[in-house]
Amino acid sequence: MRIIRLDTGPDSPLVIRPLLEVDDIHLSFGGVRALDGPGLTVAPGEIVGLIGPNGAGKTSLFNCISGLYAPDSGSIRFAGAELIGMPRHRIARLGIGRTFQNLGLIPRLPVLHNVLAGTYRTTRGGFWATALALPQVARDEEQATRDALKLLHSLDLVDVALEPVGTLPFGTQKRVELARALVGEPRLLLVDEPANGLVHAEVMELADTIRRLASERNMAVLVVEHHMGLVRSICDRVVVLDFGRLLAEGKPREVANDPRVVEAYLGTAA
Amino acid sequence: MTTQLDEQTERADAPEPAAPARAPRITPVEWLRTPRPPLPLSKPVSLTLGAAGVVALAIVPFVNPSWVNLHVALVLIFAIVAMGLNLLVGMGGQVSLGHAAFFAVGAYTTAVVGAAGVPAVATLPLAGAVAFAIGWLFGIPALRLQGLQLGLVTLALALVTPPAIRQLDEITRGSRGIGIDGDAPAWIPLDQDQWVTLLALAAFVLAWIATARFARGRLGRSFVAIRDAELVAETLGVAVQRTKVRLFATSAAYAGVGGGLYAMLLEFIGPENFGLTLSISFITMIVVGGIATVPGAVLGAAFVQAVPAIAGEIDPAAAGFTYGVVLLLFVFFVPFGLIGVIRGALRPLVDRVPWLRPRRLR
Ligand SMILES: Nc1ncnc2c1ncn2[C@@H]1O[C@H](COP(=O)(O)OP(=O)(O)O)[C@@H](O)[C@H]1O
Ligand SMILES: [Mg+2]
Repeated sequence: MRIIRLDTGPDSPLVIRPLLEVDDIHLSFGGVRALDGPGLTVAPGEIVGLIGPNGAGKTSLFNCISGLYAPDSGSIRFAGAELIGMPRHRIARLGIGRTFQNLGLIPRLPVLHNVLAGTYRTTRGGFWATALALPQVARDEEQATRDALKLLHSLDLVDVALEPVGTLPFGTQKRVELARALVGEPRLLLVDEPANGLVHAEVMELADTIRRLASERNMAVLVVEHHMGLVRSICDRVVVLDFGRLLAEGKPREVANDPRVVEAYLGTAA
Repeated sequence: MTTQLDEQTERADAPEPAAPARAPRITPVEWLRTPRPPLPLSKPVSLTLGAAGVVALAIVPFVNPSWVNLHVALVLIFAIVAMGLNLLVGMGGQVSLGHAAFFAVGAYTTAVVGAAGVPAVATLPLAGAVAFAIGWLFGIPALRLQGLQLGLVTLALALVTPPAIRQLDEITRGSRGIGIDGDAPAWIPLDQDQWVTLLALAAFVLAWIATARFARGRLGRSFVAIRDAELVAETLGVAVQRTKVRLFATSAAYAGVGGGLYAMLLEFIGPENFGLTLSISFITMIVVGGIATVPGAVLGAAFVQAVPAIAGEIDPAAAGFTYGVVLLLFVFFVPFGLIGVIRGALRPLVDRVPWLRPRRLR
């Protein structure tokens, strides 16, 4: 296990264990090696960019973390717990929120309800409590609605709050999904191409929102993104995947100038 | 059933669509196939309507001959079952063609425990509890299956119910049938039909309230998420399998309570009361009334009670035929059910009369 040492003062070395540690993950589909042993760490409150050409395995790695794919080998530890083999809802309940590259919304439900669905983990109300309308259920629902509206506000979604989400443009739906992931106050947020479908000004607004919320909540973020402007403006560190392997890792600026990275991108762009 | 409304999308505070200056002409079929959100009635108006309905139903048993009470009580009983089934099928997206089994479990619980000397009314919670338990046990393996397979195993459940009742002769008295004392306790001066109708009304009101609570809020959203995007629901922290099993068992409990009331109402039941047709009629109710809506269950129950009674006068075999035709017609032409038709018809009125609506929508 890797340990990140942060020196917070001249003589108070503070040792922080990473929140997420991915180690030597292997995953194949038939003959395709989607993941060929990459590893990475994310510290609490850190924003890490995960970049790489299409097909590099970024989404597959997300799916391994949230339990949608079962890796052939390797380990994924979150706050000390092994995620591989853990039921998906348990993984979510540990405080891992995510968005999907191609959306995972409930199209017929209005925006507000989709976002409220993200509060499932943080609210109470099972069958009995709901049938008997115990006060805590109403209290939690009110709190959830307040939180959801606040996020709709931050992400500029108030005007469409009651529209069925399936009728909205792709970029708007991506923001709804982000709001849904955020409303559950995850400790680790996985976002897959959040800027897809947004115009430049919106991308920068989104960057501000992610950055602000991450620092307000000390939330760790792992973000897959092709928009290098966004990556540069929010990421503390960048990890580059190519053909399922770790290609490079470092500060956004260093990585962007790394010849291997440039070549990997040019290689697929050609 | 690809066209479904649900309580989650249906909020009375949904924004009103901007009234077009000139409504475009649409054919009657298009009109029927238009999704209808609930009428935006203000809270006092809907509460008044609800209270008026309950009071009217509570008066029914005192002014009508007993055969009318029998019909009213049956509608209330079927509506209870349909509300539970609608939670499962409409909101949760898990089909059950076997709810007659749980209805039978409830009916026989009331009959058997009642025969042991327990007052029939006291057996109703037990009828719900036993159906819940059996629904749970059945649900644990069954809800690992999806769609068609789940339909098939629940269908099998419906098919084995009458033979199982015959087999369990020692408990159920098999084909000879079993009698139930549905009379009111001695200190309540009500005839049996009045008493059971009022009991059914009370259970119906409780079921309505519980269903409305299940359908909205955290739990309702988790049902809809399971129905529309199961994997996504899991990544939101919903224990999908466990929630499905609980939902199935809860839905079975509604059927169990309905069955207990049914036994009290008929005072004599046998295996032939719980055949496949009954399961199909439950499904017919939610389709006809309106999938995934609470009031739809009542309309569907009333419809299913009324139509075969009428068709049956022409020819007893017509009842099954009627279900088939009605199901086809509704699935194709009235996908939002009777409740959709009523909402569509009343919407212009609600739009025109401001005081019916909540203040902020006037
Ligand atoms: N469910 C799947 N079935 C088969 N192959 C898959 C599946 N998911 C991903 N892959 C393959 O794994 C590789 C990595 O894909 P992906 O993780 O989506 O890459 P990225 O998100 O970096 O574009 C690709 O070759 C892709 O075709
Ligand atoms: Mg991807």
